Amino acid sequence: MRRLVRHPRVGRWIVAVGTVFLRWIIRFLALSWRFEVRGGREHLDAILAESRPVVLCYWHNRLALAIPLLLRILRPGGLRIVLLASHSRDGDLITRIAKPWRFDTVRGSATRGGTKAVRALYKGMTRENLSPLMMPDGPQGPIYGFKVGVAILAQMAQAPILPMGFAAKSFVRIKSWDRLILPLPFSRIVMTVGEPQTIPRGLSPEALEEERSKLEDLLGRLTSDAEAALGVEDIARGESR
Amino acid sequence: MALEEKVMGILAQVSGKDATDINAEMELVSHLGIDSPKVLELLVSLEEGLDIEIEDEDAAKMDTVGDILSYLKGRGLESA
Repeated sequence: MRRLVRHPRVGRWIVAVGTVFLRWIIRFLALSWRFEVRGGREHLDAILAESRPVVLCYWHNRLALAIPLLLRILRPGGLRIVLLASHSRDGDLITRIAKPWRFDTVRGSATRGGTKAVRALYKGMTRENLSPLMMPDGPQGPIYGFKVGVAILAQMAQAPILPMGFAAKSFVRIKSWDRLILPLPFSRIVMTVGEPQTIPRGLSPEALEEERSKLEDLLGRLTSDAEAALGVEDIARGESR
Repeated sequence: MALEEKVMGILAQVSGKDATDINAEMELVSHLGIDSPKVLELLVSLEEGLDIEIEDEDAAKMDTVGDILSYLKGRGLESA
């Protein structure tokens, strides 16, 4: 049996079927979740109306919580999203799942293929009007630490960063570095949106660090606001930097 | 335009220095102030200006202006 599974053609077939299966699970979950934008909806609407690239930012452990936003608001709103997927098998899976939904992907990460991936995102933003979905503490943490590369990307492209917070009412947490949150079926999900942030060009390293730190605080605050709206607390907060 | 002239122009734009003050011996970080954020800008400018793609492994080896010129010449770029 193991030999059969390892056969390239059988392996490809399993991956293909697995991807379709996963897409259906995601579609079912996303439909079952009660999704609500609690604050800052006007910022989201303004971004959609402008239809120019924006860097969408939220914490990595809320990865799944943004699915309703992507499928119900951003895609119908005409925003062209690009996802950063690692070179690992997880990245392969994300690329396969995202493709039929017409999300573009760039392969790479902050730790491997980092600057090339950021360069590719920059080109996607400036040449193809793509908006990257970034989790600035990914792909390996530290949890809730905003990596400066995301700020640099926005600065170079002169695109605003749209900070977002997410929380789920009922969920399970995976024992990963970021204590990934997976909302249960029919869970409530609340999203909060902050004012778009623009990073001026020509900042000194100290001023750029200040901007990075402000963004880190802002994402934390928006996430806390979303949690407060649902009366949930983040057990991972104490584990952050 | 000669490759060197084009590269000096890009370096001048990214570092804010005058192109005529830049030479091949200069170190990107200590002499031109091209730190991590500016490295990204430099690489994108080189890629867009010269219509090439630079791998991370190659970028990591570029410490001086001369390293950049050697790399580009090694790729067969003599004029841009």
